[in-house]
Amino acid sequence: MICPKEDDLLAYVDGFLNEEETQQMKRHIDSCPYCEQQLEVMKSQQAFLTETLKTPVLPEDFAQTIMEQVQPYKQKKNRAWKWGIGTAASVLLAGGILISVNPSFAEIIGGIFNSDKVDEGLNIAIDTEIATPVDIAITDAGITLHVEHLIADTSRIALSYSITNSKGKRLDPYMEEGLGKNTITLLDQDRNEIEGGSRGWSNTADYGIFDFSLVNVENFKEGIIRIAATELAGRSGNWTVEIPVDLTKAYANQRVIDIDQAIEEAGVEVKLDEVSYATSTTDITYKLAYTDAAKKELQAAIKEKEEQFNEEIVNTFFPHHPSIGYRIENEQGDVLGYQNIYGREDRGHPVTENMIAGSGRWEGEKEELGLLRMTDSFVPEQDPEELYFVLDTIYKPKTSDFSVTFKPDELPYTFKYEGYELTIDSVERKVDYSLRKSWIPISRQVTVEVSMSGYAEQKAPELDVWAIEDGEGQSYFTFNSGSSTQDETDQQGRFERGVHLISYELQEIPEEMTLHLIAETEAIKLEKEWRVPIFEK
Amino acid sequence: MEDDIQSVERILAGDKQAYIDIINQYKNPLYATILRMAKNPQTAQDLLQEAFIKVYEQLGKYDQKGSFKSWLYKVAVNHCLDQLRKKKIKQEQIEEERMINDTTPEVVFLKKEKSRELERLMAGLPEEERLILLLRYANDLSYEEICKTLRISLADVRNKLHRAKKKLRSQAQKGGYFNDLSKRG
Repeated sequence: MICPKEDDLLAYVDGFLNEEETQQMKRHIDSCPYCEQQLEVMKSQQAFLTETLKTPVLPEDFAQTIMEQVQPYKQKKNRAWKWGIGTAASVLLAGGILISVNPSFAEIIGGIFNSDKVDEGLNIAIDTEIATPVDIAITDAGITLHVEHLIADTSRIALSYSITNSKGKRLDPYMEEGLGKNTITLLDQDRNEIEGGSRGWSNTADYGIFDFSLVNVENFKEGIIRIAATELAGRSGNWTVEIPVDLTKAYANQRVIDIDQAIEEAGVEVKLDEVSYATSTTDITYKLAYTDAAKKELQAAIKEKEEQFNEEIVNTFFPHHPSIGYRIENEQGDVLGYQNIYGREDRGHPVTENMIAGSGRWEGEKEELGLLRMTDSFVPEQDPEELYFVLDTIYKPKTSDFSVTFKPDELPYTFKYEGYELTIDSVERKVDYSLRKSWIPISRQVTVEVSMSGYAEQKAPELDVWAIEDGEGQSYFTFNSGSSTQDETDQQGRFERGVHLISYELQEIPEEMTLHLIAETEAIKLEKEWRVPIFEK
Repeated sequence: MEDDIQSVERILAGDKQAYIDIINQYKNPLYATILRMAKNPQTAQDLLQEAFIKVYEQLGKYDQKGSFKSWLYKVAVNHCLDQLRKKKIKQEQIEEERMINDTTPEVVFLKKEKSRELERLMAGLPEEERLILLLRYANDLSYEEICKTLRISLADVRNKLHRAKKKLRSQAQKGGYFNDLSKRG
């Protein structure tokens, strides 16, 4: 009898043989005590390797130490929410809707309505007649979807729900929308889907919350929220729930004050339209527009940049629209809420106080810059006072001619610009491989990344758009990724800043490199503030 | 794999807990692997921490078509190998006591002897052979997954795996566990 080679036996043990070879090997081993013993030895070695090489193990809290070092991905399962406020709220689609949410709100929303896990507006509302216990539960595939509470206000509709298993244990309430899986829709009385609204979804370990914004929805008084879920907690099934919504009580409790006053400052017209005092929010609606002269000036400046660089570099992330900084105060000047970079001296970036959400709609055509209708929602005052809207800052984009030239192998390189002192720390060429299901299994992605760090004064402009030019006069489209503002300050009281630029087109690090600043957003603090009463006289 | 893809979607939707679950699923076998490449527990932990952060930050680039496990291993293992090569980390012996978990004295003694010898033999293997053994037996990776992680062919995986196993046996010292095994044949 001819015994197989050791390699073939190993191949058999490791499962490398095909069906036919495996059968052949089995027949031989059955009739050969020597090979049988060899095989046993090999299997024993394998078992020992598996057992030994799986030790040692890491401490339990290993994952926690990692999670402390990373930021959560955006909690963004809704279509139109945009996290970030003020000057950051600049990328708008034609005819699109923009919603911005106070970041601290985004973090805490998600608890039940009477806990500190939701914004104060919902805390207030849960004790009023616009809140109703829903208590509808539906079970399929051993999983129960339980809709618990509904708050139906004129500005928004919020509902809380939980997902439990057959033993009543609360499961992760994550409900993925889209791709035919789960849909959550707001329907009117004729069962037509309400368009124009945007919604947020958030969760804690125990509760999920849907929050439909109605600030861009007109004439919705009564309807249905329809949840049609086909996948919950990883199980397939069918959970369909319809929750009636009636805003009659909410409208009875709402007061709307028409303001209709406007001012023109720094080439921007600010028109305060109305203030709505609802149960869970106070909503301030205003319009922003450039003056004709300012608009023409900006359009000409953008055109000039497009000729110098190209449309992609200039326009993809150009912050076309203006925004404002303001505060809400009472007769005595106590600040009750604000949205402003100067709201707090210890902050390097725009901050808000008592603001729940802001949403905006670009009302212009493609060519029309800056025509925005915004509604900002604040936590309502429990004790009604005579309130004032105080405009103190205009944020306005402009093009820039600033550039800095340096040699990447002679870093660090420090430069100053408009209140900034930034150091170019590194220029790195990175190669990344990504797996693709094709004949070529791996695709190669080269990026060149420029990292800067340093400090800036509080009033320094936002540096929005950059281009990278190689030593031969060729400029490249650049992502301004990870640019950040910290609240840490240096001895001069300047705030820590970081800028991280990425080019996916530049393939090599040139000997000499130029960074062109294409666009920046100025913060223009008004010499004379505009104070408008927003109460019924 | 389906579960992993769902987890990725949840992480991208802002759910940090889903990533904690991913870490807990893969951390121990990966640590066992990196430890035997770095040969120093602290270095291995630091590298693995960096690797998991890198995986997290690059999650958006995972195209959800191939297996997530393969993708994760490719990013994590290659990050650690690159760093090890870059930093030329001083090769230090693993603290053997850390490798033992059993409590009965006899078992501890026997296993310690065997483990010590295995570790010594493993340390003597060429880097790639050692890595293939670890990916196969500590991480339960399929041969295809090993190919993808190390960007080598299936024939290479097979040859190197066999060579490594044969070396473990032939290099075993007289009286050692592997020596015993090879004599029995």
